[in-house]
Amino acid sequence: MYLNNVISSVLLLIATSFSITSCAEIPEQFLKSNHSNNWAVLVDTSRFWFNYRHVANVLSIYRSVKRLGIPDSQIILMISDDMACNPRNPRPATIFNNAHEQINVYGDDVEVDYRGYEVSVENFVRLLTGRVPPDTPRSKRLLTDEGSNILIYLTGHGGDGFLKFQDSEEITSQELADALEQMWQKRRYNEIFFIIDTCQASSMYEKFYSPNILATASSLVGEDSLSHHVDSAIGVYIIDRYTYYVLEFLENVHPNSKRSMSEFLAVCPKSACLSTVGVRRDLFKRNPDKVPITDFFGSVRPVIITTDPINILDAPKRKKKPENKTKVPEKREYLPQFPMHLVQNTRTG
Amino acid sequence: MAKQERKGETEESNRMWASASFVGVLIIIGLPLWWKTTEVYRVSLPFDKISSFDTLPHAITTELSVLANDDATATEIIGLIEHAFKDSDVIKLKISKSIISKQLQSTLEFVADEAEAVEEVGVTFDLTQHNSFYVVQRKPLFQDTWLAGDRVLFFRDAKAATTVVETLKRVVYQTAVLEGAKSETADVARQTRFPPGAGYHIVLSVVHPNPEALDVELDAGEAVEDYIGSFVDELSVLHNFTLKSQWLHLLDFDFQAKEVKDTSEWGRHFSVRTERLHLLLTRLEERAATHVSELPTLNLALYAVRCQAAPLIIYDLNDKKVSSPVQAFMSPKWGGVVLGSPSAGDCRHERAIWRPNVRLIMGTFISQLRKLLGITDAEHITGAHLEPLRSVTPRQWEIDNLLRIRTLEQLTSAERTLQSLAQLLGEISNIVINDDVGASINSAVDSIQRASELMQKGDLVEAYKMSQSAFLAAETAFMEPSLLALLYFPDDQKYAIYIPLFLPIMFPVVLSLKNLLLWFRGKPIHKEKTD
Amino acid sequence: MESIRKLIYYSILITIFQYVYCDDFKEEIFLKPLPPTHLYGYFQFVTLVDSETSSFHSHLAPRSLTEVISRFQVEELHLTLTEGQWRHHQWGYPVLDAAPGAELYAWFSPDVADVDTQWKKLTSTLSGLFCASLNFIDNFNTVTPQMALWPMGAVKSGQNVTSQLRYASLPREIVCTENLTPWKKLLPCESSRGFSSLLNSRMIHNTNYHSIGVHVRKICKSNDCSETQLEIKQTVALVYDYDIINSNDWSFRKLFGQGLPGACPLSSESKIYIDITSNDTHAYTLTPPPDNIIVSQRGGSDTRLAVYNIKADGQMINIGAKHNSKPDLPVSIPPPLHFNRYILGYGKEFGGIVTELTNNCWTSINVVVLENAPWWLPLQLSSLRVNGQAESSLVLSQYYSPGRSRQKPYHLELLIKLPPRSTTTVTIDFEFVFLKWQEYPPDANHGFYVGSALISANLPTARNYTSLPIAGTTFDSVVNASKQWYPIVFRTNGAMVSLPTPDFSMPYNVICLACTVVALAFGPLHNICTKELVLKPLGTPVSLTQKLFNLFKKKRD
Repeated sequence: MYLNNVISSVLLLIATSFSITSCAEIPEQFLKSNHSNNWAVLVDTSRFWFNYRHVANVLSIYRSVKRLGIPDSQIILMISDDMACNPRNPRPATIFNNAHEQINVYGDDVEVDYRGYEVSVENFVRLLTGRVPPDTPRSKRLLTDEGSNILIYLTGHGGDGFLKFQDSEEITSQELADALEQMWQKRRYNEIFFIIDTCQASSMYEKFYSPNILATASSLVGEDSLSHHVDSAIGVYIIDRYTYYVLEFLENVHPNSKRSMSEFLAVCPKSACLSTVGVRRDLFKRNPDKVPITDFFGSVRPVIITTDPINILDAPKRKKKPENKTKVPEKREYLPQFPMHLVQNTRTG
Repeated sequence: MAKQERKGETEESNRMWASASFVGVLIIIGLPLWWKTTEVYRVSLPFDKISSFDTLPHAITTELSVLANDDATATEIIGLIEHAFKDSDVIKLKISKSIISKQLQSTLEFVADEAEAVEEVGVTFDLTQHNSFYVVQRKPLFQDTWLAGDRVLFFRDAKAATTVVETLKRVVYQTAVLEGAKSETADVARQTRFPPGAGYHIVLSVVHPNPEALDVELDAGEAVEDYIGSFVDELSVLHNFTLKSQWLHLLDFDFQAKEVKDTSEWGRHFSVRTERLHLLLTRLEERAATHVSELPTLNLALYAVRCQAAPLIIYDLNDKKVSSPVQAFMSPKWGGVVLGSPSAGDCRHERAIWRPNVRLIMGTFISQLRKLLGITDAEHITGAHLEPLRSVTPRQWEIDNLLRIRTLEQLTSAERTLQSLAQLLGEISNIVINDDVGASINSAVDSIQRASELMQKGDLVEAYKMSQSAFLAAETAFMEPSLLALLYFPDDQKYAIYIPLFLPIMFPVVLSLKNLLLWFRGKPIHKEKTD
Repeated sequence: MESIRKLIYYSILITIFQYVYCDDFKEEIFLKPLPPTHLYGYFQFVTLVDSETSSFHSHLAPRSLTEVISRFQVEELHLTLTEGQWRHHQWGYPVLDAAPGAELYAWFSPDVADVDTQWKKLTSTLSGLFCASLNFIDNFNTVTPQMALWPMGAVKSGQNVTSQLRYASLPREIVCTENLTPWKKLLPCESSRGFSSLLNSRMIHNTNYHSIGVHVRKICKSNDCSETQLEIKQTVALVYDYDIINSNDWSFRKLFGQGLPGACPLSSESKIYIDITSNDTHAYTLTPPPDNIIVSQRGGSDTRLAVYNIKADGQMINIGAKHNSKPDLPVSIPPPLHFNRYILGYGKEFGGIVTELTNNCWTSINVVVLENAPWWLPLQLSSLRVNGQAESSLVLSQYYSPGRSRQKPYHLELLIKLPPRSTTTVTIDFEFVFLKWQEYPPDANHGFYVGSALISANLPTARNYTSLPIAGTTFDSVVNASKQWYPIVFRTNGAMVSLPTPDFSMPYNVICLACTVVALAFGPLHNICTKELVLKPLGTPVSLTQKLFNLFKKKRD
């Protein structure tokens, strides 16, 4: 009996050690959540100077996401109009989140992928589904795969079931839901966290039907999302309430933070936002209490330490492709910068 | 009175014929015409073939020759191998048995080492053919089995049978990784290697944070061309590679390294925690400018640590020093980084010069590249001897394995893409399916079927090429820019636009149908409306 | 002693670099006070790459740019992103002129058969590289200048360059930090060291005129030009107003927000040139004093340049000018050639573009004027008038390519001989075209931009001329660089027109209106055809519904 116990415990020990050594390759992050990279799609859909606050909204999220580690190559930033270098901006190349000029959310290191007239419903849906025109550069494509967690943030003017793009067209909630379903079909995401800060925002996520999406909106159907305050030097509302409090929350998050998503979902109570924040969690498998905020806002890059370099004995030499040795040195010259030959022709002719 | 009646009758018949003609034009001609003109051009797709992909066999047939000194050994070994592989649905072994000729037997026993034995085997049998493998018996072996870079596995005798089977299963054919290539969720190997494709770019970035205090003497272009070029030339049957190199100066990264005293030539070393390393990748990506390339890029970076922070040692998650000749790490689907520290002697001069050990650094990069491209290193099996790699060339059976993995992966990916595309096109009925998409889909379906046949036959290289064309055709079809539902008139709006036009017209026409029917049957009509 | 040793080491380093790697990087700043109260700052970062080395392996040159150049087989590339308008009549001539908005032109290699496809791919890739909407450049806004633009690089003898040239400009493009960020990443020292650390986006976008540019060309390595080098030049041009920095005494700290923290360690030469010709009339002192002063005689005009050689040793330098006394505003002397361009007309049917060229020289100047009108602004060649005359003797050569709706723009080039001391007016009429509903931008009532015209001139004098000679790469090549002619390409100001815009809420109104009209028209028609009016005698029994109707009718009466 005692021998049996000893044998079984020894066997158990061998088995666990075997499993540990065979699992030595897998970093810890893989076990907790099965995403291997992070992307962010941040869209501001409003044009004109009085919609300054929407650009400030999207740049606040951009700034936080960059600070927490997502590289520019994995952020798609779409801004419909230029506020920073707008002639009406008394402080050029800056966009502040606060009338006291606390944080310049535009910063010195910003890369906008889609700007101006390029931000349209068609380009947005093409970006999500991957059906971009063939010449599109890689920095303007959403190159996600089955292990990508995507943060999607939309801001602008919206209504019940639609979001207005550039004051001339709309995207409906059904179109958005269909686009996300096509992403799921092609296995282009692992999990999506969808934030929308517009009026009647929760109508945009009502129609979602693809799995693994956690969605939150700044207001429910029938409510308006309100702006925070006016900057009298600029003369427009400078940021929206929901994003103002989100930025405040994210400024206190650092890359190794242990905060959970449920804290993020409760960031703006009704007393602060004056509109009720809506959340949709039925499509999301995990419990937001147990999901760290860095799963969507930070960037996971699993790192595997290499311990087995190859011991090369002889230095190899690649066979060069045979070039034609007979390269005639071609004569080049500088051309005259003005067509004087035409002047002379007409003079003689 | 009769004339008035007849006049009334002719007038009535005129009216009825007019009403009938309205009905005729609108309902009989107009409705079908409207339906036809708002029809969407859709090329017919082979939906039945697409839904039958699940029944296609996905097993790759591969040849295995067992050569033993006597019949009994051979039969025993073949029996064990067949038993081990009979359940596998990804690989089918075509085992052939033969007895080694007396002459070859004696040669194998008397040659000095295994490398010469391989040469001797190579004289008689063709070891360069893809998708073949030889299990040969050779008495004077120290271990049960011996395996090197060629397609030959030596075993000692029948008692080594189980080791032979284990080696074949986990090292040579790596059935677990093959299963993973087909599965729904990605296994570790699939999470590490780059997704399948026709070509890749490899960029070596030499990061030099301190050019005014340290000189790095390295010809990056030549090193990349020679070492990595020779490596990728061996894989030219799979993908085509473009090699590039660049220098990133003044890219300083704060490792937050702590100084630790030790007994090395420096008297100290700096420890950097593993959690900090992934932030270096972000900084590298900012300047490596890999988004200009059209194909996926494997990043290799050599970080030249400055003298004040040298030597840099990585401490793993358990806070233990990583003891390895080179401090390096890699990130799945991204690339690898080597942290190169100059020696104390280099830094002693007024102007420090570091000549990196190119062979060691390139060896590290090659080992990282192998994993990123899909060559998984097998674990050690007791009793089996695997010759360590001494050159950049990968082992022949590793290339075969990679061909199998990629073929399966591309085939299953193409099938899944086509299945989801078929479902999508079936659901959204107003997307135009033009000829290009139809052609891509048809060609993808044909390629999948051809590839499956070739896999069954065992023609591995052709099967790989066919599966790659299937994969690319399926991707092209799915990512076709014209398949955007947004561009086309949605069904429900078809009604919303036409109903306001048609309803006011149809209303009186349909109502007059009743009168028309009555009149045709001959009954008198007296419908009055007073005003 | 210490500094001499450092100097020796740096020179050894430079020679090692040049020997081993053959890439050369130089950075320069040129400052010039402009009348009345402006300051011109021109930054130039030049990388010279040996053409023999493969484009895949780079050392100092930005690999992304060399890869784009080699992938699309581009011989020469010029890209500028500009905000503001250069006032030629007040400020003289810049080193490199640029059109407001985005301007891109490139010459492709003679091996390229389908230049238009390569052009489209090049613009798409550059739009991703520089975060600008260059992907809007397509065939309908690209022209091939025949006489106005010529390659500044060395080309193979006897080659037809004009067919491989494409030029496009997007006047609506804005320039902001998002364009500066990727531009800075192309520099070997990025923005941490060297002159590029002065380019703080908050300060340089607070200017009257700012322009960033990338110019790539092949230059001759030796005099016989048997070998070529690739020259990658990145430029920044700024014009400050003394009102912005709130004083007439400028300094680096006031202009850029910080002093200069030393030169880039990878550059072989880092120099600052300050034009102190105006010091004779409006005296100021430079602090710290310049390393040397060069007097340059070029084409009859004298220029004095103060030169600073900056080392990479990390010492902060703050160069500034202090006026000795309260300065008077300098009078601006108009340059030899200046111009003006404006739109004529009222209403939404016709209009005209007028380009006025003023020649202040005593000799005649030959210019090529290139008018590039979009396809929705058809130019009418029959209405072309030079100084009021349809067939003018001033026009030596003319090229006109009519546009096609949605496919090609209107392209007019004139080679004009401007008589001395005169103003020549070139007028051409256009008409407005209705666009399709989908083609209007979201802010259609803002107006539509017409790009600037190109004026290519061959100047006989170098007064106000600051451009580099064609064979020179660094700024010191302007010293005593007298030539017979001084060619330069100017860009005029752009213009804005207001196209007839519809009311965009109309489609829904139209649907409702159309349905109502159809219903109202069809109903009575059907009734007339299929029903008969019958008189009904009074006193017949009336149904219930009729009684209700009669009730309402009575109320109406």
